[in-house]
Amino acid sequence: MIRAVRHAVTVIAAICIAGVAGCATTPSVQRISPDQVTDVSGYWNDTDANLTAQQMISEMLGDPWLGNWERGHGGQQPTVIVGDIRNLSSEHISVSTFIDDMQRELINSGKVQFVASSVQRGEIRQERQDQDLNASESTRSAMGQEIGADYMMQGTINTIIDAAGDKAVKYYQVDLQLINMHNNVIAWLGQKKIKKVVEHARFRP
Amino acid sequence: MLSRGAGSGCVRLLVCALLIALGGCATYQASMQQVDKALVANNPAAALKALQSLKGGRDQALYLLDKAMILRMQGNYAASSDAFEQAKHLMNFLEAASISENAAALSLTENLRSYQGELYERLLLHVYLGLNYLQMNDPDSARVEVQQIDDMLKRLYPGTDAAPHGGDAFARYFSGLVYEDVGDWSDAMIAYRKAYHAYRREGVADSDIPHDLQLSLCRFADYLGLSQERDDYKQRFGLSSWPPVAMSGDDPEGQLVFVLSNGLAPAKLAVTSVVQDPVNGHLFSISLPRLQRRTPDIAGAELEIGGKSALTTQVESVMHDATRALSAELPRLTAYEISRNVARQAVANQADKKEQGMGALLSFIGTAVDQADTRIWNTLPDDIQLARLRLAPGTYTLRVSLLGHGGNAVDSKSFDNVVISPGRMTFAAWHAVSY
Repeated sequence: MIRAVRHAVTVIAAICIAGVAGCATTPSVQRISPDQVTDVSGYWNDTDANLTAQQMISEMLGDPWLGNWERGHGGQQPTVIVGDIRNLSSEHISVSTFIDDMQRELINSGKVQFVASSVQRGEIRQERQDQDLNASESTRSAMGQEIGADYMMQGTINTIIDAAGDKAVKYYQVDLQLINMHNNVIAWLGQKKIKKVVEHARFRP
Repeated sequence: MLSRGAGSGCVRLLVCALLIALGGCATYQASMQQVDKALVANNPAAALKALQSLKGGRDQALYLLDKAMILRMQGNYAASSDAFEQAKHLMNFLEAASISENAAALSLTENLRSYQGELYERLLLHVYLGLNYLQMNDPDSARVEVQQIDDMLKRLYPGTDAAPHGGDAFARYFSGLVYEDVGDWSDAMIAYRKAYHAYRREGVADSDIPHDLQLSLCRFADYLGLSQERDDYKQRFGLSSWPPVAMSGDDPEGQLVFVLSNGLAPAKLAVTSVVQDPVNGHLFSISLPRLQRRTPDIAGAELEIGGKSALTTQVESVMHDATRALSAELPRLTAYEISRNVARQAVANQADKKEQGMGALLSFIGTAVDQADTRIWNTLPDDIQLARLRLAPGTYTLRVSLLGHGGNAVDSKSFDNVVISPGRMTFAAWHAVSY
């Protein structure tokens, strides 16, 4: 019975210590390279977005549609615009970060031109209107000089999750397509799949 | 042997536990009373202020849920969504069993557990977060929330994908609305079908299935060519016609979906029975939670917009969900109460051997510590009602009249600049707090 009392005291002490320890925790910060793979929760993260963008754009630029276009247009680069990339997954994925990654890869390749999105265009057109009124003629950007896109890139991000208890298999599928703006022909289809096995902790302190 | 020092140390620790447990409990009860009072007085800012004392510690999830709900009432959907997201991640983390909290619950009181939320509360978190996104005109993010509802039910109940004690019917129904809005019509049909089965499992008769859901089942089964299923629903619900599902982008009309959150969810009270052993003075107690409904003064709402009108119908009863959840939990709570009494008795007997009266004191403190856990997400409504109207595209003023139980209008509100777009759904909502 003495043991029972001691046990009770120990349990209470453990609870008090756990409570105090919880309050005393301060965050620890460690700077790491943005290229370093960090999988913390198993959710879609910056590594997934970067890898997907790099691989899909590399595939896109290596496929025949680009050579066909260049041959048909005297070696001229096609102009691409990013359209709707829908997140149909079960995670709140920052689609804009993913789009930025893809734009960067495409622009840096030097093989395609990119035009601003509809939101960006709206702001630029407003500024151009403002320039019409306020900027000197030599520095003014004229209206009606925009380059129309030849292709629009659209796509979806999907997930299939098979989970039971504390284990889950997450399967991400990113589908992208390039649609010719002149004739609606789908010039290129790309797909990237990522599979992750995530095991959640069964216990916590 | 138990020395006098050890005995008094034990008492000190129990007193410490008493202060921790009762302190937390008293803070929660006092804060929630103030929150309720402020909400009934239509003063959400004061409610948010009163809620601050719950921040951190074991009630953090509850704090975030209540905060998100009050911010929603204020129309601050972005901040509300942030709080809901934090609550969601915390509640997912709390799914893992805590060793220290389980030990505390087994030996002292249920109140020393972190608040994890009942399944119906976790489902409604996704529903209200989804509604926030819809009201911020972000249907794709609302779609993520309803996907998470499906993922959670699949993960927790593989094989059935259904909540064993109910509470998933409206979550599925809401999922259907979201899928319909984003044009995923096969998924909408699946969600509406799951909603129907969930209502039936909860004991709702075919004739009492929300009329809008009846229509949705028929129209999507019809559109998707599920003729046998359509005829079955048609017969069950006694329907002969329903609005057509237009081809994507071809619907000349838009839809208004109005969601009324009516009143406040039930409160939980502790019901405690204490018996004293006449020989040694030791106390035995059973303290279990009981629900107290806060019946709203409002029976429903009438909508008037663009020359059309509609009455809301009930699609969710939080009181029923909470009742079923508590009934399912009571056997475990009772078993834990008995085991805590046995442990307290053993400690008290041993203490009495060392110093007469010490056992009675320990037993008194232990009994005072061991009060039922009365925490509940009570800024949820008592019930949720819904109405859907088809309208020509345009900008409207929506007038909503709240109806008392006698059918008389007791309050009204106008929603200006309600934009109806062709082929799209526009969501509007009102949380009317009364009881």
